[in-house]
Amino acid sequence: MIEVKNLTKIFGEFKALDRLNLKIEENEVFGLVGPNGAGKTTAIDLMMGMLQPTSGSITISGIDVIRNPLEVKKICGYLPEKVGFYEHMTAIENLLYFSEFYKMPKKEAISNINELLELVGIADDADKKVGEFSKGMIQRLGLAQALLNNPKIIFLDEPTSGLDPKGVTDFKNIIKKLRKDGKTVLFSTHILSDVKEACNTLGILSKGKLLLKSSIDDLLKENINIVVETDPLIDPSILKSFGEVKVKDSKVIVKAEEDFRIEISKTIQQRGCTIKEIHLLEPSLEEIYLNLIGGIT
Amino acid sequence: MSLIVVAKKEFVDQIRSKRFIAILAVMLLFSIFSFYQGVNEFMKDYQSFVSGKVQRPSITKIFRTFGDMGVTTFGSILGLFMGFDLISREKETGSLKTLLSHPVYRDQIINGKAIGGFAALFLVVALTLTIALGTLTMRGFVPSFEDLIIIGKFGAVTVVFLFIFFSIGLFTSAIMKDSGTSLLAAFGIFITIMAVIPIFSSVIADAILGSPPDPTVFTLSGDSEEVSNKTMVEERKKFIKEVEEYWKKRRTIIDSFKILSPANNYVEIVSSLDLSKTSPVRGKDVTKNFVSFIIPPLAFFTLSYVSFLRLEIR
Repeated sequence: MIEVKNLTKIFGEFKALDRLNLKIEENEVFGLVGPNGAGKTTAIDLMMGMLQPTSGSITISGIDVIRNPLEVKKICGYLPEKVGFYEHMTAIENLLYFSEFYKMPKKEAISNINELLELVGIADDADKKVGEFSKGMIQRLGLAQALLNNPKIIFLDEPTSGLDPKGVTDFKNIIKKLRKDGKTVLFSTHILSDVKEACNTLGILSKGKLLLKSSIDDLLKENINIVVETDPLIDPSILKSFGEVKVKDSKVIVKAEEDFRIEISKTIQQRGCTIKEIHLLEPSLEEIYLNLIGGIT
Repeated sequence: MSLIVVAKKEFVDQIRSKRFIAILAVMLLFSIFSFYQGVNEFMKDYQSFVSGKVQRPSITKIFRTFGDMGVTTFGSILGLFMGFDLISREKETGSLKTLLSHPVYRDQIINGKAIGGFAALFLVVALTLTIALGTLTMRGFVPSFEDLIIIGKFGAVTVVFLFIFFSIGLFTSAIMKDSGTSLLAAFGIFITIMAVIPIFSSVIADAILGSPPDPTVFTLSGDSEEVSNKTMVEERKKFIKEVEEYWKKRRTIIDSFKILSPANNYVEIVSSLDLSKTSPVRGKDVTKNFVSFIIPPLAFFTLSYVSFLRLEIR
C-alpha cells in the first residue's frame, strides 16, 4: 500500500531523512516513533506530496507520489502536527471549503461533515468560529478534515498532542474503528503507550534512519524476561542454557528468546528446589525504544 | 474548478474583513466628497458649454481630485493591506498546510488568491464609479456613450493601479515568514516607489547636472556700441540655449525616474483620457507610462508565484 525506497531529504545542510526504506501493508496501523527531530514529520510530508524529496521514491496504492501528488491526496487524509484552520470561519464552513476540492455535492458534503463532527465529538460546536476553539477541539476538527474524503490511507502526525485524557482515549478508539473499517493508518508519535494500544506495527526512526520495523507482538515476544524465585536460591549458572541470566535480590532473571517457563520449571525441580514464583516480564516499549536509540534502560 | 473555489473564498474573505471595510469606508467617503466637488466643476463648465461659451468639458474632470488623491493615497494603502498577509497568515496559522493536504495545486491557490483580490478591488472601483454616476445623474446630467467609455477606462486603469499594491503585498507575504515582517517589507517598497524614487530623481539630476547656468556677466571691451550690442545679443542667445538644454536634460533625468513611480504613471494615463480640445495633455504619448504601469503588477505577481511554488511548508 505504501512503499518508500531510499528516501532522502536534505534541508540546507541538515539531512532530515537518510535513505529511508519502508513498506506498510493494507489495513496496517503503523506507529512511527522517534525523538524530536528524528524526521517523522518530514517523512509524512514527503509521503503526502507536500515536500519534494532530495532523492528516492514513494508509491501509495501504486501511485507515484512525486509525479502525481494530487492523485495521492485524493485517496489520503492528513492530520498535520500543527493543524490550522481559517479562524474567522466556523467548523462547518472550514470543512465545507475543503470538501469542495473533492467535487462532492453540497448536500452530501454537509451530511458527511455532520457525521464526522459527531464522530470526533464536536457536533455541538459545528457553527462556532474556529478562532474560539481550544487546542483539543482544533485537533478533533483536524481529524474530521483528514477523514473528509473517506480516505483509504490516513496520516496522523502527533494526533494526541494537546489532548486531555478523554481526548486521547477518544482518538485511540477512532483509530481502532478506522482499522476495523479496513483503513491503513500511519501514526507518528513519541508517546509509546499510544502506539502499544492503537497500532499493530511499529517503526522507530532516529536521525532520519529507520532503526526498526516490527509488529508490536513480535517485538515484545522477542525480548522476554523470565523471573524465577526459588527456595533455596538456585545456582544461576544452571539456567544459562536458556539465555542470559541476572540475579536481582532473591530473583533470577533469564533473558530468553522464547517462553521457556516449562523447561525452566523442570530443571529447577530436578535440582530439588521449590519454585516460589515464575512469571514472564515483558519489557516496556520504552525500554526497547531507548535501547535502540542509544539511551539507557 | 479548484481555482474558482479558492478565488470565491478569497473574495468573500476580503470583502468580509474589517480591515477592508474600514479602508473602503474611508475611500467611499472621500469619493463622495471629491466626486461632489468634481461634478460641481464639471456641471459649471457644462452649463457654459450649453450656453455656447466654451468647448464641451471632459468627463475626466469629475475624477481629478478622486484619482490624484483618493486612489493614489487610500487606494494604494487598501491594495497593500489586502495583500500583505494573504500567504504569511496562512503559514502562521497552519491553514496553508491543511489546505495543501487536499487535492489542490499550489498555482491554483496563488492564482485563486490573486483573482479573489482582483475581484474585490474591482468591486471597490465599481462602487466608487457608481457613486460618481449617481452624483452626475442627481445633478441631471446623463453621460453619453463616449463618457461611459472614458469612465470605464478610468475604472480599468484604477483597478490596475490598486492591483500593483495588492501584488506588492502578495509578494512580501509569499517571501516573508510572518505577517509583521511582510507588512514592514511591503511598506518599504511602497515608500520607495511613492516617495523615495521621486525625491531621488531630483537629487540624481542635481548630482549629474549641477546648478542651472548663471546669467552671463557681460564685460564690454570698450569697442563700438554696435559691436557690444551684437555680442550681448549673441551671449544672451547662448545663455538661453544653455538654460533650455539644462532644463531639458534635467526633465529627461527626472522623467526617467518618475516612470518608475506607479502614481505618476497613473496620473499621466488618467490625464490622457481627457480628449477635449482644450486639454493641455491632448495628443501626449503615454505609451512609456502605460508600459511601466503594467510591468510592476506582472513582475510582483510573477515573483509571488515563483516564491510560493518553491516554498517549503514544514
